[in-house]
Amino acid sequence: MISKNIRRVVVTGMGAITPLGNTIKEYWEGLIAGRSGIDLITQFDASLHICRIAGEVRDFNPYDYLERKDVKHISRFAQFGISASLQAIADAGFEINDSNATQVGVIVGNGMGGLYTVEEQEKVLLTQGSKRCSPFTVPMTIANMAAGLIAIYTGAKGPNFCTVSACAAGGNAIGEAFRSIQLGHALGMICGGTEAVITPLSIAAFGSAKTLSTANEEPTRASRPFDRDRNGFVMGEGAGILFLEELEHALGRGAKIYAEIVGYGLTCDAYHMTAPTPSGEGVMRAMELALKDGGIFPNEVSYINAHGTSTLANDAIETLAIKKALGDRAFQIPISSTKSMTGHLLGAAGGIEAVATVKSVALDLIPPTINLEQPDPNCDLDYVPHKSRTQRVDVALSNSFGFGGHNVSLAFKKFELGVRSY
Amino acid sequence: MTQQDIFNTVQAVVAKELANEQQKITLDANLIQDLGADYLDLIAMFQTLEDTFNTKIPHREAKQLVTVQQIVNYINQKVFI
Repeated sequence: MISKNIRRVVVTGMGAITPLGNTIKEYWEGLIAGRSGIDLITQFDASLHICRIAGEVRDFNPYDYLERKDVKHISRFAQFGISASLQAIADAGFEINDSNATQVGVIVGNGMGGLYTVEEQEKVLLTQGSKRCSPFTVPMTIANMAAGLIAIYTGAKGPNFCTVSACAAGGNAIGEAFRSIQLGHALGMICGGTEAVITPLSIAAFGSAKTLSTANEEPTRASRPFDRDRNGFVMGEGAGILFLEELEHALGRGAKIYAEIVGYGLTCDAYHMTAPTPSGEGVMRAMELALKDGGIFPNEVSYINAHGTSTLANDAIETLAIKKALGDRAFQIPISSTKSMTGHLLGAAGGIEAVATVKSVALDLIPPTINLEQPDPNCDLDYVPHKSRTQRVDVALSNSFGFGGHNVSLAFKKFELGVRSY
Repeated sequence: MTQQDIFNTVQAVVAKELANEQQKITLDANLIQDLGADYLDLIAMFQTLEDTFNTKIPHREAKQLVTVQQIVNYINQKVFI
C-alpha cells in the first residue's frame, strides 16, 4: 500500500464510443432506458459461426475525429480510442498546450489490438506473398498504438502506456493513471480502454472456447447476466475514456467534477488460463484492496458495477466474491451488469463501465441489468433488474476481470470539498 | 498507353493511397511537401503502383521519385518504352 501523503484525483471529463451510441449522452441514455445494443453481426458474414450476434458500434464516422489521411491507416480500435479521448478532453474543457503537455499522459488498454489487420494481412501473405503485406501492418496491429496515437492527436507528452490484461485492461489503465497522478507524475491523465475485435477469427476462437452466447435468434435477450438461463457473453466493441485530474489543478481552473477516484485494487488468481478461482478469492481481494485503498468501509458502498459477463462461471463467482468482500452489506447494495445492454467490450469493458459508474455517482441513478428474468439461485443479490433506479450513490465500485486471472476493482466516491477522509 | 493515360492512372493511385483530392495530384506536386506523404505512405503507394502497372520498382529507385512527374516518367520509360 502506498503512502497516503499523496494527491487526490478527480474525474473531470468522459468520452465513449459504444454499441448504445457514440457519445456519453447517447450511451448513458441507452443504459438508463434499459436498451440493448446487441444485434446480428454485420461486419463480416457470420452465418457459419456458432455465434452470430454482437454489440457493434453503429454510425461511427471516423472523419468526425481523425485526419482524412489517417483513417485508412489507423485500426478501428485505435480510431475508437482517439475519438473517445478527444470527447473526454473536450468534455473536461481542458486544453493541452506547450505549458502543460509534459504533465498530461495517456494510459489506454485493450485486449487484442488490431486483430482485424492481422487477419487481413495473413490473407495477403498467403495469397500474394510477403512483399505485398502492408507497411502499416505493425502500427495497425500492436496494442499500444491506441495510446501512442491518442498522444499524437492530443499532444499529451507525459506518461504513456498500454495495459494489456485481457478484459481487465480498461480497469488497469484507469487504476494506473490514478496512481500516476497520485504520485505526482502527471496533473492529468487520459485513460480507459478501447477494443474492436468483432472479427471472424475472434468470434470463432471465443466460440470454440464455449464462452460466447449462441442465442442468435434473440440478440437483445442474449446477454443475461445473473440469469439462470445465461449461456455465455456477447462480444461488444467501442471505447470508454476518463480524463482524470489532480484535484487542486481541477479546482484551480474551475473544472466541473463528476466524482473522485479513491481506490484501485488489483490481484491475480494464479489459478487457470480462463476460469476464475471457484472460491472467488482473487476477485474478493481486488475489491477489498480497492476499499482499503480508498479508506472505505463496506457499509459505505452504495453501488457496484459488476463485471457480470453473462457466463455461468463469472456471475456466480463474482456474486460469491462480493459476499465475501462486503459481508452482510452485500445484500443491501444495488449491483448491475451493464454488459446486459452493451455486451462485453473485452479490454474496453473497464473503460465504458467506469464511465457508467462515475455517472451513477454523479447523478444518483443506477442503470439496470436487463434480461434478468429468472435469477440463478447462486446469484441472489440485488442486481437492479429491468429498470434503472434512482438512489443516492456515495461510493461505487467498478469491477473488471480478465483471462489470465487478472482482477481489478476501482472505487469512485461522490466528490466533497475539504479534507480527505481516507 | 500515352503519357496522359499514365498520369491519369498514377493520379488515381496517389490520390487513393495518400488520401488526397485527385485535383491536387498535379504533375509538379511533391509527394512529401505538397501531398503530405510519409515513409510508410510511400511504401504502400509504390506497392500499389507496382501492382497497377505490373512492374517492379526497387526501393532504391523509388526513393529517387519525389514528384508525380518523376513517377510518370519512370513508369513510361520502364513499362511502355
